[in-house]
Amino acid sequence: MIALKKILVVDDEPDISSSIKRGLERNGFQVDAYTDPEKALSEFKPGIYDLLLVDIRMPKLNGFELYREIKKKNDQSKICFFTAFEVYYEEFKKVFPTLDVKCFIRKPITISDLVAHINTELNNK
Amino acid sequence: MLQRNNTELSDLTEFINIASHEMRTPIQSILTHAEFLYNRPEKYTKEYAQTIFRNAMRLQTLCNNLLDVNRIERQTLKLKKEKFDLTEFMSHIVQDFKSSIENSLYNAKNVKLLFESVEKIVVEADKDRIYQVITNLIDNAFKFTEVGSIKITIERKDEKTAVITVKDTGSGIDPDIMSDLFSKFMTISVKGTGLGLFVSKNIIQAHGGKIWAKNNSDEKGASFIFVIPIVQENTKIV
Repeated sequence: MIALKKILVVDDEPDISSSIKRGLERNGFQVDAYTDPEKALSEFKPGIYDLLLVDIRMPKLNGFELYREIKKKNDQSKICFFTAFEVYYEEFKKVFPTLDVKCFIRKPITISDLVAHINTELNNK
Repeated sequence: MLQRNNTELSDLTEFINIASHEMRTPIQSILTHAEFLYNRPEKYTKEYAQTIFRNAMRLQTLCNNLLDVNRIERQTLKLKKEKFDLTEFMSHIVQDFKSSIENSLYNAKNVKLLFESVEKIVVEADKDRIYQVITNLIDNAFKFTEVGSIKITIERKDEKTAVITVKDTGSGIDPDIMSDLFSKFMTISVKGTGLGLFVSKNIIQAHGGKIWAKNNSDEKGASFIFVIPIVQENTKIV
């Protein structure tokens, strides 16, 4: 039996986090979803997620800050930032000049396209 | 002049970025829930329709604010004034808002919406615009209040002026931004375009009134207060 891929979704918009969780679960993923990035961080356990899907513009802790704190816990999960903003890659490079993250998924996106993006990222070595 | 133009262009670019973010966020929810309904129309129909409705209303408010800013800048904001009892009207607005909370994310918060007024106060104003200002202030109060209450009061300051207060028990206003609170594009959270209070200020000023905000001195939270002229008692209500 193949284990389900496990995804962490963090987006402060409740309508988005709940619908993304539901949509991904219907497509065979196991999903934990949070609307509060601080709670997501405090409850985070390293090594259990295959991929993190993280909104960027959030109160208290933005997506980059959350990822930086998660990296400190020696977590090796893949990361996709999920954003409604135009440009964020340059901002990301300022925070993480040595990290090669290329997965920036722009909202709005259908669940079927999101699943395709996530599968591509999971299949990348 | 060139520097000012560059600053204006930079502000405009930043604004377009923020406005497009504010549009894409509700579109994401509408798109996902419409996709659910399309793929499995038999499941959770009411819940999905409510979410689509809620997010479509959010888009509508954003579009209206953008159009209003344009009207304000071009000085073409027009009022359709009529005489009415502000107390009765406000009571209906609060009731409407209470009903709409049931279909909103504010329903999960432990916040009571209260209304207090003791007398009839007649004003000559644009009902739709006053509705817009009050709902904007109540909506803002809900955004920043997790527990406690939001209380709306109407009082007669003197024979000529009505005072309307929206007082919350929320996180309050950062003193650093207090002086710019009603400026265009000023937002006190990571969400929003910063247009609502700017539009509200211009609507109240167009009525010959004034609007301001302060942090509460007796408890936590903030109060938004506006004054508008009262119609004299012997004037007939239409």
